[in-house]
Amino acid sequence: MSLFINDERGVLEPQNDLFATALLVIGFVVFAAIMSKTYLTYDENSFALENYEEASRIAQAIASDELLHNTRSGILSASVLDRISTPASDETMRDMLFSSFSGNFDFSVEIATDDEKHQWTIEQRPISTANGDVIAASVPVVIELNPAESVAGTLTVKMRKRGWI
Amino acid sequence: MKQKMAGWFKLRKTRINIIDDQSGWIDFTLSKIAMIIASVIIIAAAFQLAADFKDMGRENELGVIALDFKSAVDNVGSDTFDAGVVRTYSFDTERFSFDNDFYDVNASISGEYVRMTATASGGRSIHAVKPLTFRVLPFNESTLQSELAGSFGHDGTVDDPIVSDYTTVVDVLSQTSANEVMLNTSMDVYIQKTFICINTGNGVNKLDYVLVHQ
Repeated sequence: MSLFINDERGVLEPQNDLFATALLVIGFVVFAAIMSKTYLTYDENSFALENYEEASRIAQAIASDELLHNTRSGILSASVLDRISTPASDETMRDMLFSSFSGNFDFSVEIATDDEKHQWTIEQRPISTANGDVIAASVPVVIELNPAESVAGTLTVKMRKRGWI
Repeated sequence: MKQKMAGWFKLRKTRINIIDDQSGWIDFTLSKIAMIIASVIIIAAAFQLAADFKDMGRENELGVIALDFKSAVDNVGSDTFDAGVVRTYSFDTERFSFDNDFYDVNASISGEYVRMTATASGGRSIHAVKPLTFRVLPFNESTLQSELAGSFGHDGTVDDPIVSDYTTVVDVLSQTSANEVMLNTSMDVYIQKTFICINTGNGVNKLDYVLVHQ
C-alpha cells in the first residue's frame, strides 16, 4: 500500500480519469436500476391495494344481491347457487347477477361452506388465473342448504388484472 | 506536382510525429474528451430521470383525485337499498398543488371509466384514468326515462317496465353511455342509484345502474 502511494513514476496517473468515469457510470446505472425496481414494486402494490377494495366491494354487492336470496333476506339460497354455478343451468339468472357490473374487471365468485362439503363457482365467462396477478376478497355469508338447515360459509371474489387497467 | 508531393511528405511526417510522440499529450487529451462526453451524458440522464419522477408524482396526485371520485360512484353502486337517494360529490382540486405551475383540472365520465386531465400553462397535459366497477350512465333520471321510452316504448319504471330481453337493454344503454361527458370540477356532482325494470316474460327483473350528472 505504501509502495502504491509513494510511487512517483506516474504510470497510473493518466488512467485515473477513466477509472473514475467507469465507477461513476456503474454507480449511475445501479442507481437507475434501483429506482426503477422501487417504482415497479410500488406500482404493483398500489394496484393490489386499489383492486382489493374493488374485489371487496364486489363481494359485498353480490352477497347482498336479492337474486341469491330465495326465501330469507341475508341468507344465500343453495338452490339458486346450484342453478347459476358453472356450468349454469339458468344462464339468464347468472347473467342478471353480473349485469350491474361494468365489463372492466374479470372476476369469478366462489362460495363454499365452512365445512367444505359444498362449493359453488360462478363465472360470467371463463377466466384464466394461470398468468398474471389475482386479487381476492372474501366476506362471510350464511347459506341455506334446505329449509331446515343453514350453514356458515365464505363468499370469495377472485379478480384478475386486465391489460389496460 | 512538386508542391503536391511536398504537402504529402509533410502530412506523412506529421502522422509519424503523432504516432511516435512519447510525451503522452494525445493520450491525455483523448481521455479528457471522453470523460467530458461521458459526464455530459450522465448529467443529462440524471436530469431526465428527475424530470420523469416529477411527472410521475403529478400523475399519481391526479390519480388520487380520480380514485376518490371513482370510489364515490362505486360506493353508491354497491349500496343495495339506496335507489332514488341522491348523493352529492365535490372535487377536491385544491389537493392538486404540486408546484407553482398553473394547472387547469378537468373531469369527464363515461359508462366505463372516469378521466381527470390537468393542463399546464404551456399546453402540456397529464391524464389519470380509473375504471368503474358498476354500470354508470352519465345523465339524470328523466333523461334516462326518455331514452328508454324512445328506444323501447316504456320508461323502465315499476309502473311501466320494459318488455324486452335484458341483454338488448344493456347493449342500448352501453352505446348511449359510451361517449364521455365533461364535468365541471368547481360544481357539485350528483350520484344516485336507479333500477330499470324489465319484463323478460318470466316476471319483472331489475337492472341496477348508477346515474352521475350535474
